[in-house]
Amino acid sequence: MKLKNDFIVQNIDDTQFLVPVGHESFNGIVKSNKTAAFIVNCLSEETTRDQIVDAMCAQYDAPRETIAADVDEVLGTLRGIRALEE
Amino acid sequence: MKEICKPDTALARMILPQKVQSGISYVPSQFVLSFSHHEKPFAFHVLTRQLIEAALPSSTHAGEGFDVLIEAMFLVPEGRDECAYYESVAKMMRLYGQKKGVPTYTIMPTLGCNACCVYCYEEGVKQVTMTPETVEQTIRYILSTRAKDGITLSWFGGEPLLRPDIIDRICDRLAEEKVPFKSVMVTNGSLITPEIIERMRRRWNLKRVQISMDGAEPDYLARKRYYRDEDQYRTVMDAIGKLSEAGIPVNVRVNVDEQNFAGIPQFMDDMRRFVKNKDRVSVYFSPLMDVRAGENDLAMWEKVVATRHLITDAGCKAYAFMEPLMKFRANRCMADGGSVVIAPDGSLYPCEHCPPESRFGDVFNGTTDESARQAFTRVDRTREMCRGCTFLPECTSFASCPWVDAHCKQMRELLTLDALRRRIDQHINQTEETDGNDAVC
Repeated sequence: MKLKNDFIVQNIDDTQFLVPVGHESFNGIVKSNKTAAFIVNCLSEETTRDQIVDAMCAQYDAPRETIAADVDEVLGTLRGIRALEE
Repeated sequence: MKEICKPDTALARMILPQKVQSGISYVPSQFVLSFSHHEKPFAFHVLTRQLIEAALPSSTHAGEGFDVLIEAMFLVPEGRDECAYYESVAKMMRLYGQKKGVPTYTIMPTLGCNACCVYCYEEGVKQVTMTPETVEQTIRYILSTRAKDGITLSWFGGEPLLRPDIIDRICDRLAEEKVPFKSVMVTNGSLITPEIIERMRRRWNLKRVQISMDGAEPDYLARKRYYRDEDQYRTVMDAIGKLSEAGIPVNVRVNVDEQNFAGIPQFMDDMRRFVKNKDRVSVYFSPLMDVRAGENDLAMWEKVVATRHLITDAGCKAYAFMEPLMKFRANRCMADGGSVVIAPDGSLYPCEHCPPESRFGDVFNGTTDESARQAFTRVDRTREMCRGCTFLPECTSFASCPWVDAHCKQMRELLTLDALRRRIDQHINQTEETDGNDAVC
């Protein structure tokens, strides 16, 4: 899976925003927390859910199941706004 | 802190509040305009558009009583690159506002004109008119490139009303294709008749007309120089009233300089007497390009501010050009808003001034040189001299704009302070009317 081309990542100070450009079904802006920003960065290239979980486990000191739940939640949100190419 | 005007809603949702951090020295933001009115201190944030009654400290830290001002970005970390911050915010807002397809087409049916204004920037340009083939191809180009949810056609020239048949043809075809569209127009107003007003309403879906005037009658005649030596002054005033009566808003742009400004009181008095219906008539005084770029521009702007009351005294409204808007605007003009200008020969430009280097294609071949458009409208080229400016967030943000104001910062300060002081007075009046309950704009 990968972030669709019509979603642009824009950083302002230390906050990441996901901006739809000419998107037909979503016209909001996603303000990412640190976890979401990490996942969105992973999605700039083709990846899988498990690869994202692995990358987060390498980065953060937390139980794998907690991280996996966070990843699923963020991916669910991104799917909900049709931001993912799968 | 007493809030007079709230920050822009979209910006407030995204970038406010700013985190308050200990161990950091906070200073007033470069985008804050501090001023006094009725012997009270006020501060206006040019980026967020928030207006408050408060005095800002020259330096402070978290927990010293100014945290609310830090959160609202009136105070920012010392040394922060606020230009870079603004550019990021503006870029995001532009991306957000982008639509698939072209939202606005500025169409020039002809560069011909029945007047020969002394200040016209098109002087010397060949007076080309659209051929039938170009008209048909323009229609095809619009159909294939337009934004889905509706478009605006901005009729420009030359004098667009020299060729109402071209406007008819394009509008009729778009209506046949069920394209949701509305029109606006820039005209000298001399060719407006009751029959044209009917076409404006019914076929062109005209929602606003800008009519250019040049002050009192002697100045108008000397500057417009109609080819048939006609006196169109009263004809145009009559047309303004008839448009307003027909429900079409009119913005009267009065081009001014040192030579015609003395006649402005007479002009506004004529507007009062001769424009029968002023319900939808707005007026603004616009210094000519040469004046704005010249050394005496501020003296002219001071006159513009001082005579603003003549507009309302005459029963007209002061057009928004003379008011700072209380909303953040990501795009400042047609060029950086993704609009397309279609010249009479079918050439495509990002700007109605049609700088040759910005030509990016034509209606026959579509976009053939996207880099020319990108180079002209690129937003990451804030002029070096503008990086530290208070008014950067409300200024044209690309370096190729042909408009030049010699003393742009002082000019904006003059207009903004005048408008903010009126806004505060309005707020005070509203508050008094609501028995002391704060009314926030």
